[in-house]
Amino acid sequence: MTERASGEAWTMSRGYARLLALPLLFLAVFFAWPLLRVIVRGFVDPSPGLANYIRVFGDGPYLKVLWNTVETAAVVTVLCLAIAYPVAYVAARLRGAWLHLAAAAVLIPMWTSVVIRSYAWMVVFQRQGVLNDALLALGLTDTPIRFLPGSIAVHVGMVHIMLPFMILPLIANMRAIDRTLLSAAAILGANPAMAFLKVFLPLSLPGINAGVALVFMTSLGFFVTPALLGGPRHMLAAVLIEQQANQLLNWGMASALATTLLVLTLAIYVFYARITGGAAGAGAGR
Amino acid sequence: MGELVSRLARVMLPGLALLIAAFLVLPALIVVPLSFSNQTYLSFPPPGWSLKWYEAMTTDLAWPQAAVNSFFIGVPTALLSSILGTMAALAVARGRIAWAATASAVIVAPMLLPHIIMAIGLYPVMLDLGLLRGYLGVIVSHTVVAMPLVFITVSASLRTYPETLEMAAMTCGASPWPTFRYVTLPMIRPGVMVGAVLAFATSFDELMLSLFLTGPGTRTLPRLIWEQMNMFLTPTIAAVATLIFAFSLLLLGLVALLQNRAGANPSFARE
Repeated sequence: MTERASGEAWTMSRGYARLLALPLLFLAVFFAWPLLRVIVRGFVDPSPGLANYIRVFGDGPYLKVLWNTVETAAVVTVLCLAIAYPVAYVAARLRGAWLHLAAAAVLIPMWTSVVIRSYAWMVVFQRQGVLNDALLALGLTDTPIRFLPGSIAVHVGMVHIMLPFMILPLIANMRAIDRTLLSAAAILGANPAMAFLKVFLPLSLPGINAGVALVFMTSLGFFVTPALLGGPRHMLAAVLIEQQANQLLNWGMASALATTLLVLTLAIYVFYARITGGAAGAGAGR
Repeated sequence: MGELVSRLARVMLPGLALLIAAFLVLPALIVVPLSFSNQTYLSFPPPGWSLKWYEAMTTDLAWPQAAVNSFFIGVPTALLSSILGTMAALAVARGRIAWAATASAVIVAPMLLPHIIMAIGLYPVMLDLGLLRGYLGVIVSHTVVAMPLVFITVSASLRTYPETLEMAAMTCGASPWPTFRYVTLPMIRPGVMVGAVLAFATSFDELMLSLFLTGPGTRTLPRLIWEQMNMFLTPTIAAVATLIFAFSLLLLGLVALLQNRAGANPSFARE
């Protein structure tokens, strides 16, 4: 009887496995094939060779933009972690109405269009904007400060968009941490700071890893925020690629830049997939 | 010393958390009042109130057209994503595939890669297929980035009950389709529906692929907002943004409701 059941299970799982064919075919045609074309195009357009890559990695504006992209992503990730960690620490302990309120504060911005949020930041940072009004009123400055276009606005806008993606994995992780361990540490003589450093922080590392990888990877591909708030002086890779392809019709260069960005992102994704054990479930939303 | 630090932390942490919460909702608090301004320039807070930007939005036919396009693209994207995402989730969760982890990684990847890479890859593909600037090309492209969401939510649903339920149905003589229709689907329905809403929301908010793949007749709301923002910054955009914001809250509420109901389901998760 058991043998029969396992035989049944075998055919059943084989039937299920066949369901993968159609989604994989779809992804092969509309995901893998386009990516392959981008990669190939970087080497053959306008002429076969490494010309595009020599220009990307030669001393020109391109390498500077790529470096600026990595640096901005790193700064945004660190800022998000620094802000999200204490927030998650508090939020993970909430219950009832406060928990719902915290969830709303995190989820509502996540559900607000990225384009709209960048628009709001333009209103905040413009010359006669909310921020300048406040600074003038407080007497912190005599003349309005020019924030747009500028890197402060880009960083604030990006941190705002990425913050929920750092907070959510951290909360998920911290809610699973048994806080009686902290009491145990206290009973054994650790002061609260010590208990936090030696017990809580190490236990929250998986959440930190997931959040950092997710935020860093997503930050590398940002387009709307830097395009609207950064201007030409604070250009990021996605803005440059769009410009090369859509406006300058330099598709070879755009493809070489995109391939570089792809390799960078994939390296982080592989790392992320490894630390979260394959199934990426933390980043639902964007 | 440690005592002092912890006491300080106890007082300051909740305050800090509240401050961050305020930061997170700030854009909404600015856009909504701005849409009711009676001024042309973006002064905040508005010196007076009016509904003229809502009027401007309805008289300019581009906005209603873009809204219709967003639905024409978002709804089929949600449907297609639900079908493909559910199939993939069933295969990975129940198929005992040796390379299941790799398959998951490949299926989720489009959601996490920068959209610009896919946009410049899909442009020539859609051009070759004759789908450029039409609805179908964008629907298919949005499905690539929205399908992972359905895959994730349905995979989570499939983990809440053992596959022996399906096996029981099949050993009792049910063929695959009735098994899916009467056993699997009722169990995973909340996951499929949440995934579908998330897929719709992804399409509804997506800019990059739309920028490359839609034409003047098929351009979506994010693309029109984007184009308008690069030309002139009037509060009309705030009016549109407020409506979109209200709609997004509706979707968020829907997801919360669905997830609540999923939570109330007789669950096999706790064994």
